[in-house]
Amino acid sequence: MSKQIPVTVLTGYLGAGKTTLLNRILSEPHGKKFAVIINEFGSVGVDNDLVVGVDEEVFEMNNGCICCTVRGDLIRIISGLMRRGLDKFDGIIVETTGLADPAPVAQTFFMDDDVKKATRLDAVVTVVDAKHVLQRLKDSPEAEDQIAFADIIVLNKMDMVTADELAAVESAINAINPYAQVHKTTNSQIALDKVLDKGAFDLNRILEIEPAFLEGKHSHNHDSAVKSVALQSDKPLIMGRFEQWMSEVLAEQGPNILRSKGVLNIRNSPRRFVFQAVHMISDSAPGNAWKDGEKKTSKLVFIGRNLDKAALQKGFEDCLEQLAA
Amino acid sequence: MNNSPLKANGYTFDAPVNSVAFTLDGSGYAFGLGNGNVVMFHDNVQKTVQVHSGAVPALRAYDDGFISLSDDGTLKTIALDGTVKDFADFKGAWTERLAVHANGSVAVAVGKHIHLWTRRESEPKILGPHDGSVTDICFAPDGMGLAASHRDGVTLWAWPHFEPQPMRLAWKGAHLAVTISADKKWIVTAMQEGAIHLWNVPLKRDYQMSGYWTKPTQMAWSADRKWLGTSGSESVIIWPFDKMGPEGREPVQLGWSNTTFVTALASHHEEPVMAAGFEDGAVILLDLQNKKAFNAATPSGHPVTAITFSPIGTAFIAGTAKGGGVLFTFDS
Repeated sequence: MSKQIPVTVLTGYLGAGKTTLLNRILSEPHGKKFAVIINEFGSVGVDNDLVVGVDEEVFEMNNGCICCTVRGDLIRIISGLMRRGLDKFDGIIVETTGLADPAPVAQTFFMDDDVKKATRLDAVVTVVDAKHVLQRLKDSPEAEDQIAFADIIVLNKMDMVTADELAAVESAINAINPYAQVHKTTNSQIALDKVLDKGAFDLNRILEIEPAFLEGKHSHNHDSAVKSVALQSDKPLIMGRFEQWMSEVLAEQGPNILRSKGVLNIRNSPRRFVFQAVHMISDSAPGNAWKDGEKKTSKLVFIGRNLDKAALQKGFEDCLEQLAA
Repeated sequence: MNNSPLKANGYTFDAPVNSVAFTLDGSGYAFGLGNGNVVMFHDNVQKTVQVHSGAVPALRAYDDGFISLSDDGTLKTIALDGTVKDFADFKGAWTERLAVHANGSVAVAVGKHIHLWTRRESEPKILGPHDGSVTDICFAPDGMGLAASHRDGVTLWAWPHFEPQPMRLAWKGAHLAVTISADKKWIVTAMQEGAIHLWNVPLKRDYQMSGYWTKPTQMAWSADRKWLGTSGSESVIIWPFDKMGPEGREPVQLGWSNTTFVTALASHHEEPVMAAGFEDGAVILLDLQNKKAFNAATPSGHPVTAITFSPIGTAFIAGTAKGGGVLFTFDS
């Protein structure tokens, strides 16, 4: 079948510089053609040939998974692009409003079969206003969710902050999501290869995009509700135990776990096992083989609300092979 | 599978085929394309008409020609000589579902509402709002009512005396398509969750049939109305509706594909025969009487997006996402 079109989800609070970034992506002389879905999917600009009104429609899937919400309007708009022939586009950019929850948008790309076949979610890019983000984090959970969800953070309006203010902002971002790549910009000025075609949801690139995976600076002085928990071990995991534990964790804590990902060393397997999830919707597969002499370290990360680090640590350790003393 | 006595005429269009239709008398047929064009064939003449600026998700027979609905919010009629007339303009609303009854009634889903035209009244009646965007409309076979699917269920409207409160059939989830049995006893929806949901209206009972590979979107009643074929799996899943209906009975599965699933489905109007298109472009013909499947077209590699039979039963047409179109004619 045809190739899957990469989709970039662009989020960020009102006034952060999202539209400026979008205009930059569209106006640079890259010779690529993007379909842009904007304004809560109320309109879509494809050579200006389609501007339509669609009611925002978030619906829960009736599959026993309470956080499994998808965007019906997004499915409909992408089906509309498919009717026109998706092969004429190099990519799709979905710009959400400042108040949108990124989860149903991301989940749509895993839950709807037509959308999943025709497209692949490339990355969630969040534009953050360096000057006002600390205030936003105090008064709106959406701002926190958008940072927690991000694969790429464009930290914008750098010309408006002092070094001390920047340090506080970086610390706050780090407390919520130490695994996103952060790019500092003024006027959303950034090279396009920093935000497009990142493969953030590509199981084989999970490590590649996170050079600081587990090595990020941890900050514990900011009282954000969203935090990350990182687990790692050099002992091999027992697959059956891990699968059972992970499905229990996602079933019980799925609504609180915004994102999770892992690269795991499975007992008796020459290959990595890679895993990623948005809330309860997970995706996993055998990854690349470990190289000779490479240290086989399992790494697992959760980003979410009210995470019990000790309990997660214990559950993870129970999946490890216990070597005889 | 055997090869059936079919003659195939292929066409290539410059945009994906979104919809297909024959005229009411079967003398002409047309393909609605993703670039807003409708390509008509009549009296051995091919005519391409620029009808809409958006894609054409719905095309039906109407009067001597066709009626087409675009997702740019326009509804137009097209005469066989190529004359296009505005029927309605929903002013930029996202519209993709159209129902036309043999008695000339026309219904369009516009957001949470339905705009309904009958031959008796010049102004449309506006039904709704429904509980969510209307995802599909099906007229009752007698033309005296319709069913609208939406989030969390179905709404049944009846006329000529519109009841103050339409009947609601509730089932949580995303209903994508709806159909009504010939005796009006059964309402069936196809669901995003990979299932169909069935209501037996007189008995006030409902059932869920799950296990589809993907979301079923196509449903077609056999000509004798004893069977309901559905898409969404690697074969056509055909539920028995004779006797007490499909509860506790196995569906018939015809036309197995190892690699892909059914994306388009239509029923013959007189014989217990169906045609199905697959995601890989294969087209098969199903003989429900003898439970047999025949190859009509080998895989082209491009999903079959639309399929329909001629009302006189001598031919059927199919279209693909890559702009391929085929007229299949039965050798007589």
